[in-house]
Amino acid sequence: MNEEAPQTKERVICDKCGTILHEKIDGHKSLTDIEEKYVSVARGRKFKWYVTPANLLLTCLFIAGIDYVTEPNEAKFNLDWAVWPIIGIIFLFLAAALLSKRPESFWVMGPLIFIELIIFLYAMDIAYGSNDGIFGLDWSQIPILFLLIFGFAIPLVSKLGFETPTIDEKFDRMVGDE
Amino acid sequence: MSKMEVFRAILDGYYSNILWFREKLIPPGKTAILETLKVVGHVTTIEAIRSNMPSKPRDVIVKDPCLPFHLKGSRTGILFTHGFGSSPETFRELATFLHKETGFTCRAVRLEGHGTSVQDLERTNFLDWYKSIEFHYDELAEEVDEIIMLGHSMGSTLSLLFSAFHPVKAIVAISPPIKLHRPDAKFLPLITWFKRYWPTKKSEVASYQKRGHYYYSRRALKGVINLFDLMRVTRKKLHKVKAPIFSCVGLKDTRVNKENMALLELLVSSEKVEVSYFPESYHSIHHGDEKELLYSKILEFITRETKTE
Repeated sequence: MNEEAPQTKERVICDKCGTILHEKIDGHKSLTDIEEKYVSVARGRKFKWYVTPANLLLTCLFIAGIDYVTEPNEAKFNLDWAVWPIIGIIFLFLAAALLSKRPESFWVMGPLIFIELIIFLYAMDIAYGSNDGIFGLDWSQIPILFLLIFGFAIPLVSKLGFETPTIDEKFDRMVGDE
Repeated sequence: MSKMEVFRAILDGYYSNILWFREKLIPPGKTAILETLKVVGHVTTIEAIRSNMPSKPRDVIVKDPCLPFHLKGSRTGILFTHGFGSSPETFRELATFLHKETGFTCRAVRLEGHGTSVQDLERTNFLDWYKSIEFHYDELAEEVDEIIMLGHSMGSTLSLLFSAFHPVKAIVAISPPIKLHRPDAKFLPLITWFKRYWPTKKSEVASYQKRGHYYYSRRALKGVINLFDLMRVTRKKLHKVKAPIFSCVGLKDTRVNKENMALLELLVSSEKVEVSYFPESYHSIHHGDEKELLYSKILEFITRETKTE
């Protein structure tokens, strides 16, 4: 009567569909396919922190070099157009870095990134041309409007208005006490 | 952080829009038209990518001293539920004692997210913990005719909640938190944006380690939020609890004070509610100086309740 039974089971259940991924019996710790997948994801190749910024810096230098050796070299530092792709690369790097740190915050950061993109387009438009259109814009009204509506307004409204059940409601549903 | 997760987060904001467009633009019953539309390729691709994405990598391997245990005995069973951040092994001594004295079948639950990693605990909520108890309850119910629920701290709150929806013979609740007066708790969701884990007191971890028990050295703040959710839901459901209850609290306990006992008595529908106070004990009464007294009181209560019929 006092013997310890070895039939203690542990179940690993899928977070999404609720199916049983595997059953573990009394501490038998074999990795399942799913867990091996986790391990393979975690073992992705790692670089030191300076690799990506350094590579991007070299790319920016290359772009600046092309601009420098080509005519007419009238703008500041003898650069005519290279400042824009360089700003774009820095902007994309910062956005990607922020997102990889906190991907769940995309619904806040995503619309902000689009706003930044709008400012970037606006600045680029203002910097050149006759600036005699609406708000001094020549060509960027449509892309800005597009980004404002589809990149900022619609995702934000949809996310804020997304109906999610509270944990109390989920519990009531689970125990059938609705 | 995997690239797929970043991709999933990027897709998330647009996914609801795609579904909305698909629902509104395609007439009901004519979804087959999607097959002919060029856009269907993108919609189904996004759906496929989204549904096949791997979950967040986390350590789900249960550590050695944290496995649930089962002591086979008579047709009466006791189901032990441990507290927040703790493990089933903390009940080994009490379970062995009760098993020896009564001969009852004893089984200790490992709650989901416990005994693995603090990242794993962070992803779980009290519904997962409830399901863990349900799983072990069903397994135990195959062996025994009647089940007594026994829990410590959060485990006792879960036991009380579980007893509201399942037939149990009696409930033993050691230091059950029903309502904690922490006004700062309402700021926890905000704090989790900046800080996900909070270090546990070194002395507390050391005391667990001294006994050979596993205990997280950090607290997942999302888990703490879940603990408060659990207490709120339990308060709402306690009126459904009808089984006899033995509840106790240490008077030196800085987390669960004796007001919780009064609240428990007030909210439950049980005819028998025995409350006991331990003047020299802290939160873990079953490991403190008065544990022998607690053991004897639990034994007395269980013996009495199982003999009544």
